[in-house]
Amino acid sequence: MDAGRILKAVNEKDKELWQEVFGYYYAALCSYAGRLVQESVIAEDLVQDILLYVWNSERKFVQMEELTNYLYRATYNRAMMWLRREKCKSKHLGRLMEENGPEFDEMFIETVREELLRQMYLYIEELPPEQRKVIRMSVEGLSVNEIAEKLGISVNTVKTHKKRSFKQLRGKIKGDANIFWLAFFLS
Amino acid sequence: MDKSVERTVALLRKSYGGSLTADEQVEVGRLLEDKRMRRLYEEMGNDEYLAAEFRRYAGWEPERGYRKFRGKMRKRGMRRSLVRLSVAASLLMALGTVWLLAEQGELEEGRKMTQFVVKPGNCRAFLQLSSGKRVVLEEAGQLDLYETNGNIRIDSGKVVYSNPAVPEPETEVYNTLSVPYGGEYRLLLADGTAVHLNAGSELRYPVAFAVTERRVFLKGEAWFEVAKDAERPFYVETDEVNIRVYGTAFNVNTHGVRAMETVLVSGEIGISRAGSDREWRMCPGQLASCDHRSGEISLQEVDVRKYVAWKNGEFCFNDDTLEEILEELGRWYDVKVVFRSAGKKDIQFSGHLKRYENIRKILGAITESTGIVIHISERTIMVE
Repeated sequence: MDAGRILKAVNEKDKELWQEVFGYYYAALCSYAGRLVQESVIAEDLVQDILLYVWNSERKFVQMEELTNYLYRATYNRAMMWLRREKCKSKHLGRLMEENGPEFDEMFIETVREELLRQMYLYIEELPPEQRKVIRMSVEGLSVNEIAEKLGISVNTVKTHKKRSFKQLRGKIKGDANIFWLAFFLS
Repeated sequence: MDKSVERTVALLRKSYGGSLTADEQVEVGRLLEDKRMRRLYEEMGNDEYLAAEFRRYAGWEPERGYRKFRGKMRKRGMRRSLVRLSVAASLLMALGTVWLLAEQGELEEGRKMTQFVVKPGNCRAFLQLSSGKRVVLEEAGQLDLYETNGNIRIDSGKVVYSNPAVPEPETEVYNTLSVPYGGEYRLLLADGTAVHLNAGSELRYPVAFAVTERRVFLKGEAWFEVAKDAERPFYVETDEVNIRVYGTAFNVNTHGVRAMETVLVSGEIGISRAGSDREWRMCPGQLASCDHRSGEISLQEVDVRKYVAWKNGEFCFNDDTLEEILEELGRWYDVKVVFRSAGKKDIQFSGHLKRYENIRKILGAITESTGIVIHISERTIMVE
């Protein structure tokens, strides 16, 4: 999954590449919308609508940053529209505004949160195989002991993998994958 | 946006990786002056927080999202027969790692399992097809099955229905998913409704829904996220009540010691006693209890988190009686509960526990805070 392919999919409405747009953004946008509307079915519908809108629109994006921002902004706006429309949810909307002050800053912080998570989540794929397995299993909710048993490695190795992987997910930036592999073999 | 999300994200990640320049360090320092940014920074630095967030992400499978999207593209006149063909081919090839066992095989499997120490539940279930055949579903592995009116895919703890060719089935064909004690399983119905079945529960549902309504039958406990469809109302029937759904997320539990409980998290549902027309409309945050003996329904405001904690891998007890707590643990760990003195049943207990923990740890926590002695043998919890 690289940026050029995503931009091509969006700008040229490339049907074959369009699936990669989902791999790149879908979970993050649904999660982002879900935080706002508090209902996963609605969140998914909103995101589907936005992607359909993009698919049918003529708008072109020059940079990934532009596309990413656009998608978050569109998701945020749609979620707010939905919340305002939904009477039953007005309580929640009131709370959202009240607790967090002006809407704009809240959006910024939540967008940073989601974008951090999105990048880290995609990075799981680039972890070395054994670390990747450990992370996937701990994401599924398995305990360190269970993972050790399943993979036939020691509990301490699992712990080290887990710690190191999360650290890498946080700190390594996509693009320096090569440096990261080297660092792994040296350590 | 005056501040750039991308820039901020890059700075924070560099900061986690310890590769900030002196100037950038100042910039990050300024960012972290904001209290909410500081909280975010701390949360992202916590492994367990990330694991939990990623778990949420895993619920939004891009492949499923894309499949749904393709349907919408098609509606707008963009036919893509080539893609459909290749998907069909890969469905055929994916057959394999889930075991098909005859009834006898299942029994042997069951016996083997009981020899182990008491473990928390996991993903396992039985799926009864319209032909009457029972399929054993395990936690891992993938399997595709073909039913009248639709296809079934079983993949890592989840059953997914799709009905490609028959949008309006003439006859309803039913399947039943049964989750034994000590298990849990997820299900995605043909209309896109997601169901999470808890231990000791059973759901009967049509492979493809009728044109006029969607109706399923529940015994036990399940979490529903009902796909919106204004033209086809969704009903959940239990022995005691009927629930009419208007597009929504809620939890139904017929296991309750005294009453059957329905909790609404979002959306709107109406609940009525079996065989009665009078409907109680529920608002989010409400609990409807239907007394097992009198059949009376009453509504009250509750903290919904407690009722839906199970689907997030937690037990959340809040002034619950020991009887209620041990009943629930018993279903999850598949053990019987025996009280030597009835007086202990009503002692109340609050706490937050992990569902996938060893049961001894959980019982130990109860003993520690209440002083009640609890023994556990192979398949029995004994309260002294």
